[in-house]
Amino acid sequence: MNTLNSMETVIIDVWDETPDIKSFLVNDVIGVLPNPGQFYELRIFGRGEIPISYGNYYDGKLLFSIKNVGYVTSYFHRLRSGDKVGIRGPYGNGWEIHDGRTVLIGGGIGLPPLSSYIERMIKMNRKDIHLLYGARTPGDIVYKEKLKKWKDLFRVDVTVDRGDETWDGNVGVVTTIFNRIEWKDARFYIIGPEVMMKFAVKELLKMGIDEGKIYLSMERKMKCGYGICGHCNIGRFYVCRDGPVFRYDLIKDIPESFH
Amino acid sequence: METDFKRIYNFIPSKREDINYGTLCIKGWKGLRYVKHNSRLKRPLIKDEKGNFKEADWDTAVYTAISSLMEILGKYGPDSLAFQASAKCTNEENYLMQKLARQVFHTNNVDHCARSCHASTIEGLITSFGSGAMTTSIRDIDNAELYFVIGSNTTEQHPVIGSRIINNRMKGKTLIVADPRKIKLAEMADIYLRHYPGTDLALLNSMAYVIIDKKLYDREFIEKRTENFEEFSRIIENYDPDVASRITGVEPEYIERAAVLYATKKSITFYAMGITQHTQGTENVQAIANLALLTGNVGRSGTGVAPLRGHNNVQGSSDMGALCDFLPGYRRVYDENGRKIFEEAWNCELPAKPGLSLTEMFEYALEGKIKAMYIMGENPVLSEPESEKIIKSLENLEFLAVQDIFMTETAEYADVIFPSQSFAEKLGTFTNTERRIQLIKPFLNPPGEAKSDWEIIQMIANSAGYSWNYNDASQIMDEISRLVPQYSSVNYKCLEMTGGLQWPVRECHGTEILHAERFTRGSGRFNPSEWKKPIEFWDQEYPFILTTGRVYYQFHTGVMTRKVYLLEREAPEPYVEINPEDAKNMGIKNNENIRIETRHGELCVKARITDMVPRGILFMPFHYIESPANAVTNSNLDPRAKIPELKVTGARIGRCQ
Amino acid sequence: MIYFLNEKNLPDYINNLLKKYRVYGTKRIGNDVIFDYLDNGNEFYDGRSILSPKNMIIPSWKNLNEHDNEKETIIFGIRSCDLLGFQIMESVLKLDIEYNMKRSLMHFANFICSEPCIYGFCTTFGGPKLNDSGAQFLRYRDGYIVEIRDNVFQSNLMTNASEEMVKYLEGYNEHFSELMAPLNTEDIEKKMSWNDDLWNELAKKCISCGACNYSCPTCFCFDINEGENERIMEWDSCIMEGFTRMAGGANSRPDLSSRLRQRFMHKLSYHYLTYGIHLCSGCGRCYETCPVKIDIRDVIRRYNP
Ligand SMILES: Cc1cc2nc3c(=O)[nH]c(=O)nc-3n(C[C@H](O)[C@H](O)[C@H](O)COP(=O)(O)OP(=O)(O)OC[C@H]3O[C@@H](n4cnc5c(N)ncnc54)[C@H](O)[C@@H]3O)c2cc1C
Ligand code: SF4
Ligand code: SF4
Ligand code: FES
Repeated sequence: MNTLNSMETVIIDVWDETPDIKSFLVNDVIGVLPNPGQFYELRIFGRGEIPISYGNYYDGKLLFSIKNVGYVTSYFHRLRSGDKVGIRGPYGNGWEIHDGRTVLIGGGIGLPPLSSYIERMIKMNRKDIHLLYGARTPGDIVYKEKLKKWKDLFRVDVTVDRGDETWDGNVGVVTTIFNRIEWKDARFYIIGPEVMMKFAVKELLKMGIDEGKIYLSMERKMKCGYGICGHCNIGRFYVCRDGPVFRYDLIKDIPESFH
Repeated sequence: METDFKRIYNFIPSKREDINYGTLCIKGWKGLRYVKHNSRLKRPLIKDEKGNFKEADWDTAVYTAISSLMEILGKYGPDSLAFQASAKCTNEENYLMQKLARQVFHTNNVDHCARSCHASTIEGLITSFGSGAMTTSIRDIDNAELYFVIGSNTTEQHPVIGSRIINNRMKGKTLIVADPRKIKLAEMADIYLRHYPGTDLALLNSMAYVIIDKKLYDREFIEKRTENFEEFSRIIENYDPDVASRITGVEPEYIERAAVLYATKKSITFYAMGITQHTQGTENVQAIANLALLTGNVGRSGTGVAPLRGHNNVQGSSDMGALCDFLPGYRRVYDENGRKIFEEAWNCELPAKPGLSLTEMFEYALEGKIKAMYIMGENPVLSEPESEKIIKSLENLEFLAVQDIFMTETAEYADVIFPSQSFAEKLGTFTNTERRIQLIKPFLNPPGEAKSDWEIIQMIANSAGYSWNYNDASQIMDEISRLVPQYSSVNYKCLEMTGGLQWPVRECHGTEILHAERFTRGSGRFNPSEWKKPIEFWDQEYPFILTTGRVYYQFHTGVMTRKVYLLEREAPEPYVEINPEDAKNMGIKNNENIRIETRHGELCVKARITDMVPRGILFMPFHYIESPANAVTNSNLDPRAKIPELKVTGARIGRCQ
Repeated sequence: MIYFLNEKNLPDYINNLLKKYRVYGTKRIGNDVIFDYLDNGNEFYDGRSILSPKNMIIPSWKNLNEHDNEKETIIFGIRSCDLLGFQIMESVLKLDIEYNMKRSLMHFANFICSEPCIYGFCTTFGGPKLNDSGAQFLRYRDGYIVEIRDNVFQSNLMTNASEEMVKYLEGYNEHFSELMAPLNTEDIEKKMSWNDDLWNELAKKCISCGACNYSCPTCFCFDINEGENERIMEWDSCIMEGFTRMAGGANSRPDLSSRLRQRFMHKLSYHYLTYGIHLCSGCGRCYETCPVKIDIRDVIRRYNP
């Protein structure tokens, strides 16, 4: 799908995840099994196009969750089932499926791309994963149903920055629950806002984790999604094509990778 | 499609060395795309009883317009009509617009946006030198030794000239910048004078004080070529740097050093709206002229006074007399001899009373004294101060006609809209900041039935019973060259041959430097004035000064550039700049929405914390429909040039819900 | 094969091409040389155009919703630096389906400069004689030596080249390097430094006009935006603040110095590290069009004096 022309597809279902995040189920008209952590370029005709990671792929349907942060995303929040959108992809490398154990660390809207990994592992009957997830408030937690289901299968720790009366879990940023990490030899897949990733990496390194075991999913402004428009260039990489997942030791010396 | 695509590509920088070294600014590279935008008007529109616009053919639309205009003329008389010309249109079109107002409708109520930018330049420089234009040329900038930039964010608003100054600064020439905002040039200046908004006159007078005090003035030049020096030196005595320092906030020794450098080198002064948009705008301009006269920094290569114009054709539309108090060629309307020339040429009687300025037109409309307006290529809802008032006055009109290339915020209120051609589609001339008259040629086909503005005006005049008979724009220029001395002998052939000429033109030869042998008015006149505190200044109730300006990526009101995605991206939303200290004291975070309250209105806007502005001062760009800064600015007029004071408005900060 | 074409026959030669193809060639308007579609062979002017014809593959501005029928096109009169630009950009653009389609319909007739231009330094990146263009024309006496690799350019108006001509063509780069000394770019991709004060120095002068990007035959970055009935693809510029600004305002290159660094490091370092070729053909246009005369040659010299 290395083309700027998108294919037309239909939204099957839309629902609210949180006050500012909506989930969309769309028909996959492309017919390529995506890797976990890959993303698509979704388009509203006449409005614009944005890169969005998929959250799950089953039955020829793709799940996307979109946070309302700007121009195009706000128009996504006005869509209903039956509306048409454009789609092209999948793009990027995604999370590698490997033999060992994986610790997944996610913040906010970073859960959907991790979800695609988790769902794939579940399909493969693997339970050697540990999820640490942080949200601003209990109301900002996405995929509540899924989290419940996952809890029965493998270790899941959820924390919020600010609690409320309904919340009896941990309160604090995600690094405050790093003491629950037991697998020091695992791979660490991290995604979230850049500050959160910065502190997570710092903490992990302090815990003696090997740099080569840490993987980050980077976010950059994107337009084409497959390495020709130049927007997502950092150092010798294009985030859309060579990433969005990068091994930490490969990008740590590019000062721009964290800003 | 293919021809369009093929030809728009020809929009590439030309190698004309004398204009711009073969470079264009981003607006040149990107801004021109607007002409191809989808939402161009393609057919005339008439508003029906329900207030919806319906497409119409030209005859119907012109008929609707002229019958309403005639009815109002008959009922209320000529001065119930007002005409707005445009600096985005050609010389020929502006000439016809004022001719329409004066010949066909017998009123001097014709004006254009130079009023809010440079009317004080015209007034100030005519009274000092006799000619309201840049005295030198862009090429000649390289010959100067010192650049004094005051009230102009040159690199952003006039990149062609701004980059010349940068290059010369890099070559080791001297740069003095005076501006409340720490603009890009300020960072590379030899001396940066950060004076308070509205204190320019005190600063300039004090520089003159130093020059006289240290006997650095050009005695011979003053004796031979100027007048009124005695009175000038008497008034200037009150401005020793210690006094001025208390007014302006600039250290006395900075004022001294700047003055000494200015007087001892070949200097050009550049200024723009930071100088003109004040109640004392005319005096500010005169003070700049005074400095030039005092030191002989005018009329020679490498010296001069350079007002920097924003739009393509502010100079030309003023030359063409699209002003309520001047006929073409800057003949005052009350000057009988001047009037006679046009009365003979146009075979009519002309009103001697100056008409209404732009701002007054809207005020009169609000009071119900102006009944009909005819607006060409302008969007006053966005570009004039106090936009709510403008809207109300437009609603108050019995009839409004608009000529534009897009449906603008102003056109929404029109009864008839005529689709016009952009400059890419028509033939005509523009006159740029350095008085250079240039021919532009069409290279795109106009959309739908759009016509050039002069054709539309001619249709209106002829349906009013006149028999104007211009077959193309060049015939209008032939008439202009007969009636406007600065343009005498100008014709398209010689413009094409030479690639443009600086006026005054004699037999196909331009004039690079004005006032070389003698001043246009004979001798240069010192016009001294006392500094007056701006009508609004810091006070208990309003502890901030709000000042406005343009940002780089947008044209004046945004009608043109908002259609271009990349330009829009570069200046995506309105903001107000506030000093970090002030922000800290008031607990304001970056990007937080704050409420700006003034005596004229209030609005919510994002705070941008930056040391570009000093403490106590807020800066806001004026471009956006979402939050037009002009809703809160002050429209006190400079009594002489009638420019609204956009630069100094008392303000305070509140919270937004 | 190498041939000779008499100057007198050039218009007819072009007219023959025009019978079968669209010819996008250099012509003169006033003092400017520009690319435009030629209607007949006499319009052609042998000169260096103000801008490279890169808009043929990356449109300066185009509505993607409007499809134009692609036709086989000959780019006629392209200078070597611009052609090298196409070849350099290909390293990136070959990923794109549409690019490959457009490119397969394009043929290049490359005119080698007969003397160095004022601003160029093409010898730094290879020199004016390239090894893979459809046809290369080199001025010689009363005509051109023509090396043809693409059959489209065959014509019976040409005669076989003499041995002397072949020798002249083969030795041309060497001869040219004597007139235009190449700059040293050895290891520059490793030597360039992030924290160099140079970037701040340049940022003081630069007025963010974007001319360097727009005029560059190797700058390929573009933007896409949508509105009603239109989806506009247009040249973008990494000098602009919005180039990397994301929703919410986060920006990885918020200041001008970091953006200038990006421009020069992308050209001279990053691209080389990824693709083994510098993202610069040495045309000198960025210096020529820059209003404040920021010179990429000075950047190269700073690391390799
Ligand atoms: C690989 C990747 C995966 C992503 N996955 C998700 C996801 O699953 N859910 C989700 O809610 N968000 C995701 N995002 C972020 C999402 O793409 C941005 O929030 C979105 O592009 C903002 O668009 P806008 O038009 O609303 O914002 P505006 O600020 O109006 O942006 C205008 C345009 O700039 C570009 N742009 C702006 N911000 C970004 C950005 N952060 N990243 C990329 N392009 C940008 C887009 O082309 C956008 O249309 C992802 C981003 C990347 C890079
Ligand atoms: S960087 Fe400058 S010299 Fe190099 S190819 Fe681009 S425009 Fe030419
Ligand atoms: S051409 Fe020069 S001034 Fe313009 S953006 Fe490039 S470096 Fe800056
Ligand atoms: S998004 Fe276009 S290059 Fe990465």
